[in-house]
Amino acid sequence: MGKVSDGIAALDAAAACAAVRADLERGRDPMELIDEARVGLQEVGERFDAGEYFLIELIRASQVFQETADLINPKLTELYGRGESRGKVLIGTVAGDIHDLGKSIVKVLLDCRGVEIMDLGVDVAPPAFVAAVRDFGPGVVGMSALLTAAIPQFRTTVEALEAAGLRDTVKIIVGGGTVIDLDAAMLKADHVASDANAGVDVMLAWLDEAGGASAAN
Amino acid sequence: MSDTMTHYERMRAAWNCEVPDRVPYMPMTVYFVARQGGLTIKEFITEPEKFLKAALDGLDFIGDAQHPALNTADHMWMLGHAGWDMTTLDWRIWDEFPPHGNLPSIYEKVLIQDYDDVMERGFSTILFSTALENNIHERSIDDFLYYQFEHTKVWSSVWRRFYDETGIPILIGGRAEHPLDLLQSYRGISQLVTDMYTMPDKVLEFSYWLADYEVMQASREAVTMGAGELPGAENIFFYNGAPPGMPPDLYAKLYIPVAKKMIDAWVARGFNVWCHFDNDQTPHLEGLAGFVDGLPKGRVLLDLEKTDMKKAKEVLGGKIAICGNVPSTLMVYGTPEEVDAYCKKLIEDCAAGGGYILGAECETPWDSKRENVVAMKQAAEKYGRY
Amino acid sequence: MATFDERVMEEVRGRLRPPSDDEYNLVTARWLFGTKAEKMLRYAPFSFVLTKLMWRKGEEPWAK
Repeated sequence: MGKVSDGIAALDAAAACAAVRADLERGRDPMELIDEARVGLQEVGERFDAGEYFLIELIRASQVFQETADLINPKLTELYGRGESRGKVLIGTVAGDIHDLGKSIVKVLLDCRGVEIMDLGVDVAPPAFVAAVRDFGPGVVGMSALLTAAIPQFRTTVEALEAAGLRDTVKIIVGGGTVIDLDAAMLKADHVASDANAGVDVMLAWLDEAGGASAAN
Repeated sequence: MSDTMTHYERMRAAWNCEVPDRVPYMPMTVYFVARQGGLTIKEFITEPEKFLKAALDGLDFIGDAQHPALNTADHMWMLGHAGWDMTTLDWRIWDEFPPHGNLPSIYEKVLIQDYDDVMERGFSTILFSTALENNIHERSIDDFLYYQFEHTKVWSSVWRRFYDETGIPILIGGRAEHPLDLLQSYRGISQLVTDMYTMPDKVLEFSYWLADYEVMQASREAVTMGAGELPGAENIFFYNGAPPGMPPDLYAKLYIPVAKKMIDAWVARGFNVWCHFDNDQTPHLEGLAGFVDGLPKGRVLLDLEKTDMKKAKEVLGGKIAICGNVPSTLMVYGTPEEVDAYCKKLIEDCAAGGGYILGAECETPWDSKRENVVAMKQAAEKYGRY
Repeated sequence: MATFDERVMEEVRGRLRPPSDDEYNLVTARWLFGTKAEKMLRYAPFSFVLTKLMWRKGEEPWAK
């Protein structure tokens, strides 16, 4: 841990950004800096898991991380070009639901771990998922919902992927406030995430297993 | 053993943290009743007579835990009818239940750009903002005036008849929302989080500014609905939905003082306050306990969604009545036996000494199994005797 | 003898202090017009016409 990661872990945007600016001026390797920033975010995630940090603090941490990343990224691209992707994830809130808080957190957490993400937004109909799987070629599809009324849509969406012959090209994870007590098999998914962090861990494991290459490409 | 109290008597005893004849139950069955009665969403919101019939039909399986008022005041807000605050939000309302339609939803967006600007110019411009995509500009003047000033009176007369026929009180007269909850819709969760960290004092100032209006319009609405004449209309439904997962320090600074000021204002005007909470309030129970400081007893009820109810009883027992939290997923996907077991445990954890109302986690979902709703009713009667 | 419900309703009526029209109008005007509320109330019903002036240039619904 250094000043950058400490700043992020303390949710102190001013301190974290000041530390980044100072380090960049001193000529510190931006790759090292972004890694340190990730450590800070990781620390927040661990404190969240331990019940020390709350959801709002997790969102704030992702914002502070983003502010530091915005400072570091131009330098990173200048020196190294575009980094290698760890894999592709397609995410969206299923049809009939517009809640996207959990999904947004997942997006930030994946982004800071070098995953390429396509976010379809909210109230996404099954055909839109199918088209995006075909075009984007993700290794993982993440579906989210908060309303019980939207739960049947998980299954409907998976069935649409089956009908399009794409089901076996992806791993499917679902998440959201009301699904955590449900069985993945009932939803025809591969996994039901209990929270954003746990879901991201599962997705990363899948992507790493697949060797970073997207399943469809 | 049979019931020796009326529903209203039982509810008042629970609000007072006194022991009733048995545990009252209060599953919020707004959409469920409509669905069971074969109504569309549009019908149940705009046609009181049809809803009255559905509510009477529902007596067979929901019993006296009907919630007429929730079907009226609390859900007219979605049309922007009960309070103009709702007209400034991006509500999407469908005519039908899924799969042909959907439940009403708010699209969060940055509708307020600058807090100072709104306190300076008011909401008049946001009311007719083109950023809202709820077709508000297309409504007629007659429509606006009718729904703002007359529709509530129509509902009120309908529920007076319901009470006269059944003896079942309505449970709320007016509704209001915590300003932070409104702000989540006006700013979007991400921007609101930034605001809470970068300009907390401004968020607080704006919340107090907004609270004055919320208190006033809910009071007005409760009077229109029949406070003092129709039992239950004296209760204000105080909705607290967001933001989820606030850390205790922010909660203590930005949420609690505003809520307390609003509750005190309602109680001073003679109303009772039913505080409805989404999300897990377990970390904030000590703060919520302070809601009744300096108030006469029986004026505040906490309706808790995902909170640890046993802990809530430990902290709040004897001070504030609590209500909740049979999970939504259980009502839709569970079996009557599972609902029965969950309710039994809740009653064991929370009912001792009175002050507990068996209820659903937020709203009983529209697509709940009827037998599960019946199971909740029966559990209160079976396990809730004092 | 009065029923329980009647007794409670009498008690509620005794303690109720509903907002007066003036109170309600002032708070609603503040919500609608911010710091201009008192002025807008004083010059009602012209204030409804003046509402047009509260819009910023380019943001008005009629601009498009």
